[in-house]
Parts: sequence; structure tokens; C-alpha cells
Amino acid sequence: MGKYRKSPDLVPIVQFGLNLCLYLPSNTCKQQGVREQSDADILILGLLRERHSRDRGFRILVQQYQERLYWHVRRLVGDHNDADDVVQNTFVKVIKGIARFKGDAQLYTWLYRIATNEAITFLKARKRHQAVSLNSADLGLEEKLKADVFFEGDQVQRRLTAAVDTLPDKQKAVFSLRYYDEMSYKDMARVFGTSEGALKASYHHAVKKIEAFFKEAEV
Amino acid sequence: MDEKQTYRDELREIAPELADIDRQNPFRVPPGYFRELPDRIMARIAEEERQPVRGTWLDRQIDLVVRILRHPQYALALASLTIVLAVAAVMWLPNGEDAVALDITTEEAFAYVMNNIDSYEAYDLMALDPSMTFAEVDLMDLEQSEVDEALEIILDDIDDATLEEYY
Repeated sequence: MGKYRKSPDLVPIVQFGLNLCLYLPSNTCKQQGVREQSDADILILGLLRERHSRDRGFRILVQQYQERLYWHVRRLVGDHNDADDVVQNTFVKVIKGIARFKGDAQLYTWLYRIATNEAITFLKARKRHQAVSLNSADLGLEEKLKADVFFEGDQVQRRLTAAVDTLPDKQKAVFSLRYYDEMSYKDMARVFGTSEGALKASYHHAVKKIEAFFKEAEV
Repeated sequence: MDEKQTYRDELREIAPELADIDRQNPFRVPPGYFRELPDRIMARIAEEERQPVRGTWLDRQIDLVVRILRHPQYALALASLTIVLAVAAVMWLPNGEDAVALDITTEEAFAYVMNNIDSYEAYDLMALDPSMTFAEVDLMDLEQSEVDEALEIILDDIDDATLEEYY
């Protein structure tokens, strides 16, 4: 990856190039040579590899991906404050671990992998906590969402959110990435480290469960 | 055909009613949240970088064990040592009252430990798999090399806090 190292004088040019790439159609900036990284990601990685531009690289990385990762995490954990914690932890881990990112996967699938793992770890911890807490009487997610000031969906949206919440954690993540983020199975396979076939089966089961949840609610 | 349309067609084929639901994002964030988030994250990273490495003797020992366990060869050596100690403990038991109380012989206990301790530890580690990639895998279906590979992946993925909690 040495060829992406920039001298100090090139940093403003890198920044300009990044800004340019962000305004171009997604495939316009694809380059050969680095495996499937977009030009924006190549430029971010270039900034991160130089000590003097590292902080700027981190900031651009966060700005570039914060919304996508936040919404993904928010759909998994539900609550804004929990999502905020998980997203912050995700970026801290990303920044601490960026030196280990070898570029053999797309940057964005690597980020989604870390965010998904963080969210699933959080959900497991929350379940353990709720299991031992005597004060965790469950009002039902649909009722909770009605009172949530950061949820503005209608009844169908509340029911869909509640239905998704009944899925096992990993299946919930699979459903969310396919249904909301419209991610390809190929990229999802990199996020989950599993086969495309297994993910198709998992998504299919998730959709059927959600459909059944809706039908049951109608009865 | 447009990729996104393909995904929607896939959904319509599985569950037509679900495909008709509007996919608008019902969640909201506090005003200015995304504008402020980069500053908060950068401040947190700067704060963490200022923090000294955990300094107590116990913390240093935990760090050492975690670092060792990240290397499969060392983890294997540690597992072997555990087996030896477990076997020694079983052998140390007298063949008299304790063995009778358990209704097994020392040889049976030895055989049990030898047969199960590897799988027990592997199962426990697999249960910690943060990506749940191996959650539904039966160890009995895997070759030893595949088990080793799976454990290596899990040890790479697992975060320090979870591993420390386990040990």
C-alpha cells in the first residue's frame, strides 16, 4: 500500500480529490490495483497512514460513514442512546484497528462487520442484564415506541420494528442489511464471514417470520 | 436490471405484503447529532490515547494472558497444560471413597477428561464468537484443522472485555 503514501504537500490535493469523489457517481472513482476500494476510501486510507494527516483522516472517515453505521446500529438496538454508545465504540475500535486493515476487503464491509459485532455484543449484554433485573417488565416494544420521542413511525412501522425485534440477533442484522441497506449478498458475506447461500436462507427465514408476525397481529 | 429492484423483487416473491410496506426510516436523532458526533468521537479517542495503560499487577497479568491466547500455538499449549493438570488431579484422587461416590473408576474419569475437555473448551470459545458465524456449527462435524481455524477466527474477532470476562 506504499504507493498511496502522500507527502505532506499533497494532503490538500488529497482532500480536494476526496471532495471531488464524494460528488461523483459511485463507480466513477473506482480504480484498478486496490481490491474494490472506492477512491474516497483509498484517499481516506492514505490520510490515515500518515502521522501528520491521521486525525484528519479519522474525522473524514467518521463523517463519511457515521450515518450509515448509526442507522444500521439503531435498527438493531432500537434506542438512540444505546445506538450512540455502540457507534462510538465502533469508531474507536475502527481507529485503533485501522493498522490491521490490509485492504483485502472493502473498507465499508469491514466497518459494517465491526459495527454489527459491536451491536450484537451489546444486545447479548443487554439480554443478560434484563434476565437478572427484576424491574425489566417488558411493556412490549410497540408500546415503548409510541412513547419514544425519537420514533416517528406509524402503526405499521411500529409493528414492523417490533417484528424485526423478535428475530435472533444475527438474523436481525441479516434482515436489516438486506431490507433497509439493500446490501448485496456478496458484501454481506464479507460482513458476516459466511457464505452467500447461508445468508440467503437466513434472510428468507427472517422475512417469513416477519410476515407471520404481521398475520398473527391481524387475527 | 437495477440491483435494488432485484432485491425488491426477491422480497415480493417471498412476502408480497411486506414488499408493499413503505421503507421510510421511522427513527429520529436529536437535532445536530450527526454534526456533533465526529467531535465527540475525536474527543473520546484523544482522551483514550491520554489514558495510561492499566497499571495494576492483576491487569497486567490479564493483558498477558489475553495476548497469549491470541496466538493459537500458545493457546494450544495452555490448553495442553490444563489437560495435564486436570488429568493429574483425577489421578491424584484415591480409588476409594471418592471414586465410589461418583460411581466411576479412575480410568473412566481419565477417559472422560481426555475425550471431553478439548470440545468443552472449544464449545465455550465458540459460544463467545461475536459474529456468531459458528453458532450453529456442531464441532463433531468438523475436522480438527477446521476447529483450529474456527477458534483462530473467533480469537481474532473477540474483544478484550469479553475474553477477560470469560477467563
